[in-house]
Amino acid sequence: MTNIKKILEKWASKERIQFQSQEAEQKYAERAERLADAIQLKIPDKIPLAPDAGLFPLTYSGISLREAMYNYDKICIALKKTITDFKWDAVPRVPVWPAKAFEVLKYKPLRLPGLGLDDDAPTYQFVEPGQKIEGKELYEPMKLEEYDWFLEDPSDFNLRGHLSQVCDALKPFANLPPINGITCYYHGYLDALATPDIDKAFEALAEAAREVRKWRMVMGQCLQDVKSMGFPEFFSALTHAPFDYIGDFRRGTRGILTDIFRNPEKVKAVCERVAPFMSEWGIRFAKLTGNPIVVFRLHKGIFMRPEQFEEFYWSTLKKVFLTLIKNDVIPYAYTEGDYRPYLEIIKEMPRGKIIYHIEQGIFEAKEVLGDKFCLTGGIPASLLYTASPQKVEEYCKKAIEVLGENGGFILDSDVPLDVVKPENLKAVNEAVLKYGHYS
Amino acid sequence: MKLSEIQDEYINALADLDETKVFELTEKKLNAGEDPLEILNDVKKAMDIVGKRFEDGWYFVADLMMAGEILNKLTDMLKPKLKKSNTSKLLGKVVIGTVKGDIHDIGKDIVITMFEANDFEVIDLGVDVHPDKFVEAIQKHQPKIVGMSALLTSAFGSMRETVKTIEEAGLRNQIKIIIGGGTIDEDTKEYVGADAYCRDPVAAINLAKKWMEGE
Repeated sequence: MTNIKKILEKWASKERIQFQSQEAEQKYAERAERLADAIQLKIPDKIPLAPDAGLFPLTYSGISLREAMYNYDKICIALKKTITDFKWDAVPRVPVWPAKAFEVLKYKPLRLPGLGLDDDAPTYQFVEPGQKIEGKELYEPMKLEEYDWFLEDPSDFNLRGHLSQVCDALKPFANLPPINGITCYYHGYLDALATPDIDKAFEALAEAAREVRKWRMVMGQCLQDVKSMGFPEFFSALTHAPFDYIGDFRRGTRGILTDIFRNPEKVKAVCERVAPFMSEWGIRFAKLTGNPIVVFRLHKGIFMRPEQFEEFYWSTLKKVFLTLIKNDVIPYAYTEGDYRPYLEIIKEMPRGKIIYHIEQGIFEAKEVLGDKFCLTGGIPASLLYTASPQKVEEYCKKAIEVLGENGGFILDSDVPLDVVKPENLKAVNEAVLKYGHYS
Repeated sequence: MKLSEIQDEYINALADLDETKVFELTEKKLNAGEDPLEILNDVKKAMDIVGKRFEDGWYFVADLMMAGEILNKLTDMLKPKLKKSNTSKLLGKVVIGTVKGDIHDIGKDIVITMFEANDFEVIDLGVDVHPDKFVEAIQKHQPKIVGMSALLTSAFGSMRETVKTIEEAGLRNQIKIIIGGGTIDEDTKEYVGADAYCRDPVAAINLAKKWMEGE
């Protein structure tokens, strides 16, 4: 437990934050301690409330996704307004990415307002490999026979096979020679780059990266601003379960789920192959952002029988978790869907070293996992969307009493929010105020 | 081996999702001159077992998906060999789609396969389907059941709007509406104005069959 304490002390540190006021500084400390206590399975002063607010800050502030994805200041305006009004215990991540970067790359998996979607669409959409939109496949999944290419040399496959497939602007990369023969002696590898097509592709890549840098500068400053207002950041970086990495971005759901029947050994081999990369991403980005809590959005495990889950999904995911833990990172496993069949399996992790978000069946999860891990969740987004504030408050009372028992719990929505009723989120605050105190 | 044993072996191979064996046996049956309709009847029995195993919590979505893959391949293989008059009776028509603003289709596609395996004719409108498209399809195909799918909570509003549009077109009373997907629950059903919500494909099939029997 000691190193978790140290990690969280560093996470809660107020160093390098220029607080707006003494009150803000005090609130920051209180909030950070509240969250840190819950993560360490201790009983905080009151139930921490940290909704994964998704795109709600935009809808709440009357800013369209289309505006925000080009004008990053708008993301920050929305975030500041939301956090000022709701005063949650942590700043949520607003998942708005720099549209121009994706536009320049002609990145096919992401559909955005005005870029595949109506201008006023409230959310973005991720299109899976091989998924059909209006009867047409937007881009091809990694082919079955390409498993071997991936296994042999993942970087080569990613550069020449994958990027050229998902980004129209990077199509010319398919014609590059393999990079593992690179030399710059005389003109060496450069010869292969000396075509107008390749030149344009690299230019697109550089332009996209410049745009991401712009976005990151604005978002970085914004985070400093909201911290200075007294709000800590819960988690920041993201990495993936190896099975999801292959399923989400290479083979698609149908592809990988039928592969576990038809080509089980390939699936296992490829997950083993990417596990160290997933760990490295997590550790690297935790260092880069200075936030040791790294989130995993767990997607495709829930489609499998428990024994398949263990064999294909968990076997490599747990390696990634353990590697992160060894490197002073706290994995935040955000389970999506119904994890009740797998609770005993995921219980295997070392006590207090990982945080589990539970989307469905959180009351059962509390019984199975509650004394071993900090859990987050508890408020159904559908309730926030459809019910009355009174009903929301009643529900939250129960959630607080049952799920909050003995600490180790952070109140959160079951899924990231988008267009829920603000008065229902106010009702959540009311419930925490009325029933959330431990002492 | 007796005929009934061969039949059992076939049904079991399919229920166990043993793709290789299923196709070997199908070839054998066809070569021996077995009526494709008989084979399809066995396929249906096997799909019932798959559905039962799902209900019992033994099979999961991946199993349904794999069963669907095998089923589609079998249907493609056997359908052209069926005599026109020799097809089984349809239970009813279903119009189905993922509503506007959402493109998630895993659940929807499995539901479609299950409906088809249970003698429903399905008109798949695809994903991100505008309310007007639902109305047009209802007018054109006259289904008894309309299925709407969405994973995103932001699409709840879109479901509600779709139901409203169907109402305004004067078609609401001639159909039953089932919704499903992701976090959908009783509250969502009320909000949307649907007749039922289903947590999984098997529940949807069972309900649809019940409705059809009630006709």
